[in-house]
Amino acid sequence: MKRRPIFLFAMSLLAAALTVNQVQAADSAESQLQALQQQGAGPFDAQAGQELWQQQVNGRSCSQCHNADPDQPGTHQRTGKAIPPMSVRANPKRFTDAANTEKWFRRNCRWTLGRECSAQEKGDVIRWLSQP
Amino acid sequence: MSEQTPATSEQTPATAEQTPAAAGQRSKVINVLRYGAGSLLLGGALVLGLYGVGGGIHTSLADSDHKDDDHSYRQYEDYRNASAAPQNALYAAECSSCHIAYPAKFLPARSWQALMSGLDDHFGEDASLTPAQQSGILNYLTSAAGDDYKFSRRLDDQETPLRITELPYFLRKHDEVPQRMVQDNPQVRSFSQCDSCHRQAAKGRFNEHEVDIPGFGRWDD
Repeated sequence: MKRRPIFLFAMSLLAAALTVNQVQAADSAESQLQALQQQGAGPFDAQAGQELWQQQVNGRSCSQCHNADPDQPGTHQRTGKAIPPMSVRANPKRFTDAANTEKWFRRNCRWTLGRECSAQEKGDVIRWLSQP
Repeated sequence: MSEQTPATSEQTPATAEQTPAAAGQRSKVINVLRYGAGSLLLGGALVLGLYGVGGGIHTSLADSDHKDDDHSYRQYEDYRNASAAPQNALYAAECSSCHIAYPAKFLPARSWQALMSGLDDHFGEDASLTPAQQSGILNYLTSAAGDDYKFSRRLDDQETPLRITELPYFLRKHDEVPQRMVQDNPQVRSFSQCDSCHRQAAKGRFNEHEVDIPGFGRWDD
C-alpha cells in the first residue's frame, strides 16, 4: 500500500516512454509499400530489388556502401563510416519512418544512379529488404 | 454572538468523538499524498541529476558567457567550448547522420548560406533536404554563426570558406598533427571527422587535453 505511489510514478514514466516510441515508429515497410501502390506502382518483386541493389552505374552501386548482403553492416566508401544493416530482419528500425526512407532514396538514387528512383524501383527494393 | 457560542461548544464533543476514525482516514490520505509528492520529487531530482551528468547543465551555463571576449576567459575554456554544441534539434538530427553537427560558430554566416544552397553536391555527396528543413536549418545556422568568433578572424570579407578545416585558425591549431595520424590513419581519414579524436566533439568540446587519436592515443603536446 505504501509503495503504490512510487510504483504508479514509475509506471507512468514507462507509459510515457512507450507512447513516445509508438508515435515515432508509426510507419512500416508494409505501410510504405501500400503508399507506393497508391502512386500506381506494384506488384513489387524482391528479385528485381536485389538486382537494382547490385547494378553498377559509372562504377557506383548501392551494395558498395550498404554491403551486397543487407544483413551485414556496410561502410561508406569515402568516409569509412559504418552503416547499420539495411534489412529489416537484421535491423528492425529500418523503414519505420517514411520521410526518412524518402529522403535517403532521393539522395542515394541520385548519387548512385544519377537519377531519382521510380516508385516501382523503391517498392522492389523495400520488398527485398523487408523479406522475413 | 453570545448565543452561538454554546452551540459551537456543544458541537466540539461530537467532533471529538469522530476524531479516531477521521484522523485515521486523514493520515492515510496524507500518507498517500506524501508518498506521491516524495516520488515526484525523487523522480525530478534523478532526472535533473542525469541531465546534469549528461552535460546539459554545462551547456546551459556556458551560454551565458557566449558574448565574452575570447582571451579574458581562458580558465572557462571548457564551458565556452560547450556552448558551441548545436542547440537546434533539426540541425543536430539532420546533419549528424553523416558527421558531427559542426558548431554553428565555426563558420561565418555567409559560409553557411553558401553551404546550405549547395546541398545537392555537398563535397561530392548528395545531402539534399526538403525546402522546409533546409530553410529551418539555415535560419538556425546564420543566427548562431561565428562571424566574430576566433575561427573567422583573419578572413577577408570577400572570402567565403566552405570547409572549417581550411580556416587559418584551424590550420594553425592542427599544424603539428602529422599526416599518418589523420589522413593516412584508416580510423580517421580526414580532419572533418572531429569526433574521431575529439571524443566529446558532439557535445561541443574540443579541448586539446581530451584528444585521443585512434591507434595513437592521447595527444601530448
